Amino acid sequence: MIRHEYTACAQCHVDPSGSGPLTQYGRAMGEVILRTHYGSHSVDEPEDPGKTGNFLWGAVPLPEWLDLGGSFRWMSLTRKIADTKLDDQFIFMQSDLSATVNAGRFVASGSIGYDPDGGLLAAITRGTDKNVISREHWVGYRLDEGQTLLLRAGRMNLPFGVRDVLHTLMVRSTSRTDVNDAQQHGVALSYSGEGVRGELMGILGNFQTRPDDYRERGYSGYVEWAPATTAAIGASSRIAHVALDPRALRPMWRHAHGVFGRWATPFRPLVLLAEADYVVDSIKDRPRDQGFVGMFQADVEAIQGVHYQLTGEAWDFGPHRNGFSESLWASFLWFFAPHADVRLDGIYRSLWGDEPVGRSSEGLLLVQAHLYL
Amino acid sequence: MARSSLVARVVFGMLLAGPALADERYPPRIRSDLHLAKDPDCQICHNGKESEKSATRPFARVMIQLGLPPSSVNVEALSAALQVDEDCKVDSDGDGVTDVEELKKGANPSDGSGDPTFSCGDGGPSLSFASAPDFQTGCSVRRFTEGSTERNAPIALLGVLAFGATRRRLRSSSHRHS
Repeated sequence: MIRHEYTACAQCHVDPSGSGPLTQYGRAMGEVILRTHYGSHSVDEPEDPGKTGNFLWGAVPLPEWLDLGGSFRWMSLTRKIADTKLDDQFIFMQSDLSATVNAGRFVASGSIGYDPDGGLLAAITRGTDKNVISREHWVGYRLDEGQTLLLRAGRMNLPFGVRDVLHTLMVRSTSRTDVNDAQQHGVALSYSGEGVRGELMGILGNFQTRPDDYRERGYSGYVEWAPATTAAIGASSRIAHVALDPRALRPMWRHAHGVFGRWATPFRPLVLLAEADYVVDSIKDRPRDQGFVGMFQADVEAIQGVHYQLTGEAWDFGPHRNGFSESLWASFLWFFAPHADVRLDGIYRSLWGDEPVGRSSEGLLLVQAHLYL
Repeated sequence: MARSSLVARVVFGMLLAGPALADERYPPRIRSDLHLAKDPDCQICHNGKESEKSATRPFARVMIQLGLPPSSVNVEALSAALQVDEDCKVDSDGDGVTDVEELKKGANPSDGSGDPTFSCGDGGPSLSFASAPDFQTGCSVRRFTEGSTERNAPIALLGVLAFGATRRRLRSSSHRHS
């Protein structure tokens, strides 16, 4: 959205740090400036989103105090790793419904969905698969008339770095800050002002896991400064402690600290994103997993709604930092209709490995379809 | 295998690290190391969908305690851990059958409910496994236990609501007076 000189997220998303349920304004903006328009509207941006920009394509009018939404995402994944057979999977990535209620300065938002693969860290039901899940549910209070300060409590995405739907990016997975199932319960204070935004969250733990020993406590936050409407730079930090890591069965400190930036270049179709983090997983009496993780993305919007993306990643993360692994994403995204988009990702990864295995590689092809209400 | 050699293999495995991802390399490595007829099922390690976060079943926990890095992939460390597991006749799920025997039968070494047992014999390494409660997911309705920090969440939530309501009341009161 920085291409359209939107540096903040709070206007379009219920979550002031972005991603997830949309506001009515955000849904309208999706119709006006994100998707491809055809025919006579292909050149001039229509200013009125019309009924199709509303919830459920305008089929069900909503009162101002209520936002309903939903997001459905499907993916076909084909993966080839050296020396292993071709792996094909069809994944129901997301089937979530959401509701947001605004009552004066109070706001409450929540999502509920279904994950046939379990979605264990966000599960409400207690199976190993086919679970009802809730990624987010929180209540908040706007502290000022200008709605720049929002205090929230509940289960939320962790504020850290560039919030991206690509939850498998290494910057997201190693820092445990993806929007898939890495949400935590806690209390967060966000600020969305002119040129500056930020959020600090006190992490109380994921109360959808048990027992309490496995829950982490700490903080996560970021601050971003936008010196212009087309550029922003920020810094993030996260430190958390868990009494018992569920795999290592030992206490663990988890650190992630980094910087990120967004820039809509003077060549208008091109937008650049970047993030670099230093991550440490410190397990008691064991070698630390630690190292640098970085990503760089160039997004070209050839015509409105049609994006070509090139994303590069590099990381050197493990007990010993002996060499970098890299991945390169070539992506095509098309917001082809109201509330609908498709994307195609070709991914090549070159993975560092210890001797005698050495460096190995893998290739992935992802085909995704996304529909939101 | 001599104790020093075993310890060296475990330490070697703990010190080496590969990148995260690509744990699809693990099942073929287990098959080749143990001469299995086919790749073992993902559920010997993973609870539900395969991911780094879901490797919380007994056999996975034992492999990590034997040197497999929990946050990055390392097939050599896996081989070293498997060797110790086999030499010490480790039974991760405490069902009376060793992990390697279960894997060779195509059974699941994580489907029992007991604590890990082992028998390294004379000269073998001195292993010890941390006992830990099951990692459970999903919501639970039960009483808070003494000293539990779970009660912090609803208290924090009530605090936020009370703060907001008080502030609003004070503000509307001052507006009326002015």
